[in-house]
Amino acid sequence: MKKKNYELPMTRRDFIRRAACAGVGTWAVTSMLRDLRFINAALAQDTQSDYKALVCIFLSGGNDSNNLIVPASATEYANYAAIRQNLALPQSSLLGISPLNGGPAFGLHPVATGLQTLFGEGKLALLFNAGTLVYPITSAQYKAGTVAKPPQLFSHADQVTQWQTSIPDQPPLTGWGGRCADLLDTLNTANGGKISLSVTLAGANTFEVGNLVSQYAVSSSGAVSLSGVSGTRLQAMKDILGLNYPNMQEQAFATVKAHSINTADVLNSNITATASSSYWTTPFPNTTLGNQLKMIARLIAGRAGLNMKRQIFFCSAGGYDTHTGQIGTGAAPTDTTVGGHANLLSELSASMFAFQRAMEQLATAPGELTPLATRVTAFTASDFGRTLPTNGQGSDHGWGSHHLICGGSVNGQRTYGNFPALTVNGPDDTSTGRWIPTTSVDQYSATLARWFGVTDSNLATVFPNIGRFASSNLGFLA
Amino acid sequence: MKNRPLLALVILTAAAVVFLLLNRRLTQPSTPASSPAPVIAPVEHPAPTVTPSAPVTQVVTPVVAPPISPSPLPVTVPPSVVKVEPTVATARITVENVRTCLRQYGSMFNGNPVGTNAEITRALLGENPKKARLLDDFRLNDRGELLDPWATPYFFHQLSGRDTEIRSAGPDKRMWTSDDIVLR
Repeated sequence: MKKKNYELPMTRRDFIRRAACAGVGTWAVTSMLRDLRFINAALAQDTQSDYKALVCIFLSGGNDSNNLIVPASATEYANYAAIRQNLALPQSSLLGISPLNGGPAFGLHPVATGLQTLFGEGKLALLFNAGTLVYPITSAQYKAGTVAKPPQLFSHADQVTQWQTSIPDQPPLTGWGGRCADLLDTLNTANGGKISLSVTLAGANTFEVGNLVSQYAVSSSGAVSLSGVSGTRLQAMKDILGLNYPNMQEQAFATVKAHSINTADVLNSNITATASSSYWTTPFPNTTLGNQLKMIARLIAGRAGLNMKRQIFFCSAGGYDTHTGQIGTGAAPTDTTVGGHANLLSELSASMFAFQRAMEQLATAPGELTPLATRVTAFTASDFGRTLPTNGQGSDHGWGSHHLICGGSVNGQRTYGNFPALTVNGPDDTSTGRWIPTTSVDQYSATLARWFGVTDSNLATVFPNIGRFASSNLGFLA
Repeated sequence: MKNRPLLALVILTAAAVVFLLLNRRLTQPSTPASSPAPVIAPVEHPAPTVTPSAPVTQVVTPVVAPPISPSPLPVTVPPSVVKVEPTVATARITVENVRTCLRQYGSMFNGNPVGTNAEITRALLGENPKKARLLDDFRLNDRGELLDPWATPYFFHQLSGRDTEIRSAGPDKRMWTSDDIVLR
């Protein structure tokens, strides 16, 4: 056969091979640069070594905070009752609170006795009318369409995502909790931390998605471990997983599985001391949220054994999408102090109260300088608020809503933000009793993140839009 | 060979004659003279019932009937507007049409319209970046809300940007009861 008398400078196969290598290399360099940026940023963080934990309590479905915090003055209550109609709580049933910062009188839902106590003790703060925002926006701007709004307002999935990313105007990639974890994880790794900084009690979530730190899922009864395998069989499995495998995929699988088994063992062994219900002086309610917060309390109790310096927890309670069945029971169908929403708020109040008491009960670990309760902050988040006007059986999707921040470092017994004017088509309304937020999720989250250890210089890394708002510190944390 | 065109012409003519004869026979009625006349059952044309209490005024596109030879049957010209009691089956089709509109909107704008019924309705009627009017054959109340076949406003439950649950209250006109028609 005649040999071809020309030579290609590069064959097609060579080109593809080299391009692939170049692509992988570029990606690796980019990733490394990004990681280095985070690591360098982390090293620049506050060198405070005391333990701190953030606990996100997500109220799935959109909490009707219009019935969590109710204006108690005669005029404002009259407005509230006239618009809420069959959803209005009786004025006489409201639990009175006395904010130190004055202002109009407010009352809490009659089932929220635990929250009332915490507020009175100065361990609970109320944040009014917070929600997703791209920019500050007024009612007139909303109606004229002259200022960008968060996309897909009033849609569950979108608003949940935007609350958890705090970047409503960009496709969701990471959550703000995950970005904080990326920045602060070196505090754990330097201390020999044995589990992930991000722990979820409610399954995978956007809030804890980071670039470096992965969320670790724990059930209400502890780490998820292998079932039906124990003793000799478990040891045999560990031995097998510890072998060297020539196949990379098999090796990776064995490594991940062995790590998972070991992590579960370590975690479960560190929470056995707090397994008994009688361990806690204030019992947790035996509910979904109560059990999740109880497990978080147990994990915090085991922090020293796990060598943790920073932890972010995520838990969630569902059922807040109260389009129907918001009030009343079979025996008392029009009673607004009972029913679906009252049950949810009762669970929330009792769970947060028990959790705060648990933090106060736990002893300070060696090397910790301040009481543990001052280093754990729990806060609520939710899809959105709900409409003030009734739909006849409940309330529909709104926007801004009121939130709770609880902990020993909270500048409590105070209210933050601006309470909306309870007027349909009023200055805070889109048109149908949905409050336009006057405080952004960015501001709310940045205040929490700064307390957690994110420095001012890194706030813009975690919250890229924070510069659009007047303040990045709402002042509810010391 | 000279007579070949002539021969072809003759054959064609013969074929045409045969075809015409056969066709004429086939079109003639085959009923034998002795057979009885066909009995045509009288067809009852139900008059459109207009129920005073019926809440729905359904716009029906007039159907132009073909000309009928003299017939003993009374011919009723359908009125352009009749009131028809909706059925769940027909209502479901209506709700499906609304769902189609939402999906079209979602495809055009990378996300379904959101907000209250009135806001979503306005978006479907052209209050959108492309001024696209997607709703057709609709009824609104005085608040601008899109109504179901029983004249109750739909409830649009925005689950996600591309997933909207459409709820019609159904015949009992009460939301969240067992006869609701729900599509997503």
